[in-house]
Amino acid sequence: MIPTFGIDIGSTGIKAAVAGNASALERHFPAWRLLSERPAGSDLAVAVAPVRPSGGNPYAIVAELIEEVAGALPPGGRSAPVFTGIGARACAERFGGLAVNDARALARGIGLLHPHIAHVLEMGGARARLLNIAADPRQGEVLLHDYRANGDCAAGCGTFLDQQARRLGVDLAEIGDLALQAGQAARIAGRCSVFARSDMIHAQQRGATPPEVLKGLCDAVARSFKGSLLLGRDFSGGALFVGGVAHNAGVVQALREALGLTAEQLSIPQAPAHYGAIGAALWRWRREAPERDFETSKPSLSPSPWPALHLDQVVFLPAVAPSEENPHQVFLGLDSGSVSTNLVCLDGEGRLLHDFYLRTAGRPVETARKAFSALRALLSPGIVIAGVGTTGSGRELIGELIGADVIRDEITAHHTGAARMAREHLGKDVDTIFEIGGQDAKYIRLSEGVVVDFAMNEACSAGTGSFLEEQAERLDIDLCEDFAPLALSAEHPVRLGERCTVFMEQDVLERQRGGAAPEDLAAGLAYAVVQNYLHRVVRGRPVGEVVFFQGGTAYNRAVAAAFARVLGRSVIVPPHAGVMGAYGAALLAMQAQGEGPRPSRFRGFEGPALEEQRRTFTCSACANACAIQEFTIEGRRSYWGDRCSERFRRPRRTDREPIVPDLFRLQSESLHRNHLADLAGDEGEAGRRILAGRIRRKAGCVTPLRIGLPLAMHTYERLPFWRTYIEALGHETVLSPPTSGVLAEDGIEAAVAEPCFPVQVAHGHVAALLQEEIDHLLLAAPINAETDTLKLQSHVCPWGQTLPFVIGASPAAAAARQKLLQPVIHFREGLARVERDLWRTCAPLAASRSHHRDAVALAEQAQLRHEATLASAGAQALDILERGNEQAVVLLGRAYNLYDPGVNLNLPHKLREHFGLNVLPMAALPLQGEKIPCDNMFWHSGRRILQAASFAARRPWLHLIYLTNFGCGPDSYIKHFARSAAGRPFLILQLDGHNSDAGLLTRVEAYLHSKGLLS
Amino acid sequence: MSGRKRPLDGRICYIPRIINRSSRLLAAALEAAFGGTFRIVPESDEHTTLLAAPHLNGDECYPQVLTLGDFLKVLESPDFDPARTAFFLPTSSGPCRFGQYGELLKQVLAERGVGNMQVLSPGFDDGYLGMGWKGLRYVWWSIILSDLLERLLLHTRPYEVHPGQSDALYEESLDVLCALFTDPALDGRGLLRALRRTLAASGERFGAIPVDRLRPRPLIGVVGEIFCRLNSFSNDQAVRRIEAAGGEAWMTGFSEWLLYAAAWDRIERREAGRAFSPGAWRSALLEALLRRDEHRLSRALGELLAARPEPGRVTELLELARPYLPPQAGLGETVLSLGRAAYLQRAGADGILDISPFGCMNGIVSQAIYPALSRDYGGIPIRTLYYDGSGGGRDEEIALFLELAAAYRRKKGKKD
Repeated sequence: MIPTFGIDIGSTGIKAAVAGNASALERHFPAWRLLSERPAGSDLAVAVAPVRPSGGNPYAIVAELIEEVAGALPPGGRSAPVFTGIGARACAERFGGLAVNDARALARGIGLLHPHIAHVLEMGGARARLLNIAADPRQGEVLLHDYRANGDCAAGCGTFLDQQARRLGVDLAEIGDLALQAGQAARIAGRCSVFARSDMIHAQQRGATPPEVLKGLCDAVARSFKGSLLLGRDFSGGALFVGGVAHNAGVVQALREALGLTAEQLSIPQAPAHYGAIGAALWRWRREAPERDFETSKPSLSPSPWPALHLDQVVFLPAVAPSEENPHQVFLGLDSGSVSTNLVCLDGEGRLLHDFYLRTAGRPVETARKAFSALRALLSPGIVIAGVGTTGSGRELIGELIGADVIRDEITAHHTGAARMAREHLGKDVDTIFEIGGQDAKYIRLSEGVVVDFAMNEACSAGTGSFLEEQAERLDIDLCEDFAPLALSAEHPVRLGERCTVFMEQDVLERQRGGAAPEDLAAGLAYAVVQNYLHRVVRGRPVGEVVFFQGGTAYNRAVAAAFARVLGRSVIVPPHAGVMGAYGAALLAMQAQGEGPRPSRFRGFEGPALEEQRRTFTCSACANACAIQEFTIEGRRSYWGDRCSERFRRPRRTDREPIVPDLFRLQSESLHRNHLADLAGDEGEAGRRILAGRIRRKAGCVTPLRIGLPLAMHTYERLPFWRTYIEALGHETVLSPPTSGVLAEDGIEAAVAEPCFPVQVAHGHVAALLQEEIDHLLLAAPINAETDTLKLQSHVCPWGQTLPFVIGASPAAAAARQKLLQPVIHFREGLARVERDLWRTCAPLAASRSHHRDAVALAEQAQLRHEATLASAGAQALDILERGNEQAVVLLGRAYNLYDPGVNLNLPHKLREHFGLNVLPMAALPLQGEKIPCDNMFWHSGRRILQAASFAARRPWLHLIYLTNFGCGPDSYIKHFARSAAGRPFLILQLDGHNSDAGLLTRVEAYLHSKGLLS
Repeated sequence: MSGRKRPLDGRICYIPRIINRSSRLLAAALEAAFGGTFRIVPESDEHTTLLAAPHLNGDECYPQVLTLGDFLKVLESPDFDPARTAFFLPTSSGPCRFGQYGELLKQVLAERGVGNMQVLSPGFDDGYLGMGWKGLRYVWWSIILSDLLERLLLHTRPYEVHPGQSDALYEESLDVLCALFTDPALDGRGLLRALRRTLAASGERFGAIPVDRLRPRPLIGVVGEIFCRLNSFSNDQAVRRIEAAGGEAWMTGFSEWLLYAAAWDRIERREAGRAFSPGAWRSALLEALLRRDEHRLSRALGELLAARPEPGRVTELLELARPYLPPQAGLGETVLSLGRAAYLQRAGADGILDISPFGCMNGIVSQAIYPALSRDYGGIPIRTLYYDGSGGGRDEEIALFLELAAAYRRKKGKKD
C-alpha cells in the first residue's frame, strides 16, 4: 500500500499526516505519532507530524515537510500530497498535488476515524466551526449536512487567545493550566474580540490576576463559540471537539460548562489539531473517481500599491537637555497604559531628566513599582519630589497607590505635553495631535492652546499600536528594531483594507500567502494603521498646520512617514514621543504646584505593601456580581472593579453640585408610576373618571391574565401606555427585571444574528420573562411614532419594527410561540389606527370592542401624562439654568440608551454624582417644530436627536453627549447630520456589551475637561 | 423629477451602477424618456472607496461608499462642470438607510463647494411615479429587459460548451436594445414592439448556444440587498464564483423592487382605511400597467425561461413571508428576501444565498429569521454573505455552501 500524504496549512500552525500500513509508518516516520484511531473496517493506520508554527514563510515549512516525507519513503513509494487549509491552492500550484476544501477535509478525517460522530466542534487558529456530518466508512463516503462558521468574527478562535496570551507574557501552551488555577474569572465580553480585549485590559488595570483574566478569556471564547455557532443545538448525544484550541484545558472546561456537557459527551480525539491533514491524507481512500474539486478562477481585484515611504516630510524634534543634572526638586508623571507604563521625571523647569518605557504585561502595579525603583536608582538621595501626576487607564489605581497630586485623563495629559513641546521647540502652538497608543487612539484639535475638538476610537482598536505589534510578531519582524527600516525599504507597499483589527489580520495573512514581500507588507501595515486612524478616529475632521504625532506608535518612523505621505504635509514627532502622556501628567502636577505650593501627597518610592492588604470579594448588591478588589492603603480602603453598585462607587471628583433636579430619576419614577390609578383618582377630570369607572366595571368581566412585558427597547418611552392598556383591560403586568450584566449576556447569547446591543439586551428580557409564570408575552412592533410633521415618515428602525418576529423565530422562544402577542402598531396614524392595530391581535384580552377602545384611550392619556411630566420638569430645569447662568449636559439618543442604566452603565447618574453636572435627557427639551438640517429624516428618533442638537446649537451653555450603539444603522447617518445641527463638537459614546465603565468615563472626563466643565 | 418636463436642461446626468452591466440600458431608457444625456458613473475601483472615505464615518453601508465614491470620481474628471452635471440617485422614505444616501450626497457636495448641483431623486412613496408615467414605463421596460437578459445569461453560461459565448451575446443584446431606446423614430408602443422583437431574437440566439446540461449543478437562489446583490463589484463577483464552484445562480432581479413599490402603496392605503382614494386607484393602475408590460416582454422569450419562473404577483412573496414576518412590519427588502427565499425553494432551488452589505439592518433581520424558514422548507441551506469591500475567503465559503446545496439536492432527490 502506497502511503498517502496530507498537509493542512492553518493560520498559526502547519499540520501533516500520512496514511498507510501501520508497520511501514512506524518504520518510516519514527518521530511522528501513530494514532490508535483508524478508519473502520481497514488495516489502514494514520501518523501525524508535530505541529509546526506557520511563521513568516509557510512555504518553506511545507517544502521541508514534503522533503521529509520524500526522504522517509522509498522512491515510487509515495503519492502526490493533498493540501488543505488557507494556502492550499497556492501550495498545490507550487509543489504539485491536489488542493481540497478544508471543511470537507476535516469532515472526511473525522468521519472515517470516528464514524459514529455527527457533530464536530472545531476551534482553530483563525476559525471556529460546527460541522454536521454523516459517514459511511465502508463506502469511504462522508456527507456534510450542515456547517456554521464564525465568518467575520474571530472571537471564538485560537489566534485571539494566542494574542492575549502574548499580551500577558504567557505562553499559549500554558493558558489552559493557568486558567484552571484561577478561583474566579474576570468578566470579559464574549462576542467581539476587540471588546473582549478592552475588557481584559481594564480587568488587569483594576487588579485582576493573569489566571483570572485567562479564565475569563477562556469563558469568553467558549461563550462566543456557543453564542455564534452552537445555540439551539443539542449535543447530549455526543460531539467531538477538534482544532488546536482543543489542546487548551481551560477552553475545554469552559466549553463543557457552557454547553452543560460531560467529558464523555464532548470528547477530544487523540490529535485534535490534525483532522484536516488526516482528511487530506485519506482524501482518495475508497474513492473510485476523483471527486469534483472547487477550483475557482478568482477575478483579479488586486489594488495598486501605495507609494514608497520617505522621511523627507517628517520632522523629528531634538531633546533639550536640562540646565542642571541634579536639581533639588523634581516632578514625576506616570502614564499607566494598556500596553506600556511610562514614567518621567522633570526638573523644576519642566525639562525631562529621565524617562522609562516599560511593558505593562498585565501587571500595572508591579510595572509601576519597577519603574519607580528604576528611577530611584538614578536620583540622588534627599531629592524632593515636589509633585506627582498620573494618567492612563490605570491612573486611579496607581494614583491612589502612590499618592498622586493630580490624576488626569490621557487626553488632557497628552495635549498638555504637546503644547509645551511645541512652544519650546517651535515657538508656536500645536494645532493637531495624533496620539496612537496601545489600545487607544486619539485626535486632539487645539486653537490657541485650548482643546476645541477631539475624538477617540469608539470601542474599536483598528488604527492602534497593538495591531501593529501583533502583526509584526506574526510576520516575525522585531517591531522596535527592524520594522521601520524594513518598511522604509519597501518599493511597493501593499494596500490592505481599512478595516477592523481582527479582519485586517486575516487580510495580511492572505496577502502573505499570496506571496507579498515582507517589506511591502510591513509598509502596507504602516499605511493601514494610518488609514484606519484617519478614517475611524479623525473621520474627516480638520487637520491643521502644526501636526504632532505621538504615543508609543510614534517611535515607529514608518508610521510617521505614512502619515506624511497620506496627508501630504509635514508631521512632527516630538522627543520622547512615547512618554508624552506621562510628561503631560508631570507638567500638570507642576502646574498644580504653581497654583499654590503645598507638600506632595507622594507616598515615597516604596509605596505601601499592597499585596498583603488586598482583598477580593464579589459584590452581592445586584445580579451583576462584580468582582471587587479592596485595597487598604494607610488604613484607607479603596475599592476597584465595581460596575454598578452604590456601595462601592468611586469618590466624587468635584465639589460642584447640580442645580437642577435629577430628571433621569424623575423620568424613571414617572415611567413606573401607576398612571391608571392616578387617572381614576379623585383629582381626574369628570370625563376621565367616567372612563375609568367604565373600565373598572368591564375589566371585572374578563378573566385576569398575567401579561409579560419586556422592559427594553421602546418600553423605555411607552411603558405608561402599555401598562395602563394591560391593566385597564383587567390584567396584570409582569415586567422583566432591570437589565443586569447576566441578563445582557443571556440576550447576547440568545440573539441569532448580530444586531445592536439594545436588541440583544431585549432578547435577554424576553428570556427572563419566559422563566416567569405568564399567560401572554406582549411584544409590540411599533412601526412609527407620533410626529410633529406629516411631510416625512417617522419610522422606528428596522430592528425595532421587526424585533417581535425575530424573537418569535428564535429557537429560545419557539416553545412559547403560542403565548406571544405581536401587534404591529402605527402610532403615527392616530389613536383610531392604534386601537385597530391592537384589536387585531389583542381582542381576546378585552371584554368587548368598546372596552378595548376605552383601554386604549386611557393608555394614551397615561402616556401623555408621563410625557408632560418630563416636559414640564425640563422647562423648569432650563429656566433654572438660564437664570442661574449655569451649564448643563444634554444626553442625545434613544430612550433605551438614555434611561436603561444597565445599558448606559448608569452614566446620567455618574455625570451628576461624579462630576456635579446638570444633566438633561433630550426628551426634556421643547423640540416641537425645531428645524433640522436634513430633508429626508424619516426615522423618528433621528428627527428628535437632530432637533435636540439644533436646540442646543443656539444655547452655548448646553453641551451634548450622544449615546449610540455599535452597528446602529440609523446613527451612522444621524451622526453626520447631528454635527451640522449642533454646529460644534460633541461627545459620542458607543454603548455595547462592555462590562467596564473605565473606558466610558475616560472619554467623558476628557470631554468635560476640554469643555472647561471640570475644575 | 417629471416626465413631462425636461429636468436636465442640458446637463449630463450620471446614474449609479445599480444593475450591473445593464445599467447602460437604464441610462438609455432615461435618456429616451427625459432627453438630455444620461451616463453611468465610471467603473468602481479602489479609488472609489478612497474618495468616499474622508466623508464617511465608516459605519455607513457599503453601497453608500460605492455610490458616493463613484459620484465623487465624476467631480475629479478634468472636464467636470457643476453647472452642466447632475446625479441620479433614487431615494426612499425609510426605514432602511438607502433613503439617506441622497441626503448625505447633498451634504458632501456642499462640503466640496458644489452644493447647488442637481440631484434627481425619484422616491418610493408613490411607486416612483415622480418620474411621470412615461419615464416610469421606460425605466420599467429597461429593468424588465435587463432582468430577463440576466436570467437567460445565468441559465445558459454555466453550461455553455464554448466559454464566453453567452457573455458576448448578452453584451451584444444590450447594445441593440440601448440603440432602440435612443432611436428618435421609436416612441411609446412602437418602442415596446421593437424591444419585444429584439428580445425575442436574442432569446432565440441564447437558445441556440451549445450547452452541456448533463452534469447537474446545484441551483443557488440569490436574494438580499438590492445594490449589493446586483452590483458585481460590490459582491466581489459572487455569481461568477458560484458558477466557478460548480453551481448555477438564480438571481433575484431588480424588477421585484418596483413591483413591490407599486403594490405597497396600494396595500398601505388599504391598511390605513383609504382603499378607495384616488391615490389607491392610481397605484392599482400603475401596478396593473407594470405587470402587463412585464408580461408582454417576458412572453417574447417563449418557454426559454420556463424553468426559472417569476411569481405571478409580488404579493405572493409577501404571503410566503407572512408566517415569519408580516409585510406591515418587515418593510422593504427584509420581507422580500424572506418571501423570495421560500419562493425559490418551491421553484426548485437547492440553496439560498443572501448577499447583503456588512451591517445591513434588513440583512441581519432576515438572517435571524432564515433558520426558522429553512426548518419549514425541508431544511434548505440558507446563508447570508456580508460584503464591505474587504474581500477574501469567499471562494471557500461558497464552495462549502455548494456542498450543502448538493447534499440537500441529493436528499430532495431521494424524497422525490
